[in-house]
Amino acid sequence: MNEQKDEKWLDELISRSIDTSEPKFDAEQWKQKHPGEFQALVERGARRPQGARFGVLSIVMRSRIAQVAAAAVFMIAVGLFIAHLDHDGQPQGQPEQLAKSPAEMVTSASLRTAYNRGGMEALEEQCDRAARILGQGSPGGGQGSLSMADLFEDLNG
Amino acid sequence: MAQGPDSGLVEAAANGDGDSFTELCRRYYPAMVAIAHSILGDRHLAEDVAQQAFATAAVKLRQLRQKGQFAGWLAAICRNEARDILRSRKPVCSIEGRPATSESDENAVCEPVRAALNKLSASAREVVFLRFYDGMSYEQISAVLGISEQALNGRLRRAKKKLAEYLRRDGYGEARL
Repeated sequence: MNEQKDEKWLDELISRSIDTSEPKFDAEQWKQKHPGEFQALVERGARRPQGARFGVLSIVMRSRIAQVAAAAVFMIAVGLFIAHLDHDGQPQGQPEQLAKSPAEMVTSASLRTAYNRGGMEALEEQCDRAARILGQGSPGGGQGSLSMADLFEDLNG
Repeated sequence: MAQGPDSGLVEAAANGDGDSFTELCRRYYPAMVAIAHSILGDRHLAEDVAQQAFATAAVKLRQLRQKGQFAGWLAAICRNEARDILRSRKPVCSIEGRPATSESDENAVCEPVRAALNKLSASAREVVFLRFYDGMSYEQISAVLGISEQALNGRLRRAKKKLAEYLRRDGYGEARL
């Protein structure tokens, strides 16, 4: 027998042998039979607005790449914060804002902080500021002729 | 089957639209019954399994990431449900035929075909059932199986060739049947 005839013969036999009539889906019957599952599906729509609050978090948690990127951003942020702190764990600021008097401005800690901030120039500038403040408070002050050596000599006696 | 309309329905159903879900059920019911029938060999049980598969899909639909692959995902659920039923039953599985007819020799004609169908591999038997069940296009069948229409044609041709071979080997040629 040729292939075409063979196929027709077989198709007819299969159709006769198994019940292949189109099954009809009865949605109402199915809903009655599986009420819990259908209700769970429909209730999702009602719950959705509350879940939207965590949209960014859910986007991050959904993808592995997003998780790695979020972790990297967090680590960089922590690194920058730590770099922003000085060795004492205090945020860097202007030494004169922390020191309450000219004497405090020329303590070793204040001078070291000034040096760390701007090297010798910052150190000398801080000393000049301390001297200016001292000069303003003393009789005949405001001359601006006090050098760093004179200041150290005066402080050390 | 077009990817677009299916994906839209799946998306809507995942967002809680019950009508979209029942439309998907209506669309894939014949395919799911055919798959379960090919595994269980029992049409009525196959319909129950297909409905149970829809119930499972309703609960797990949010877990489906690629909405365009709904048909294949649903078919996998249906196969698992049918295999679970099969495991819990006695190991005898034979394909039941059409409802009884007035012709007395109908069973004698069809029994060898059912026996030959039972000898086919699960995937070959599944493709035969999907093809011969009414109400399904090639497009739908290929979406359910996750293969192209050309691949579906090839798989169906090989399954039928094997079926004919089994029939002849058992001595049931065209003349006898």
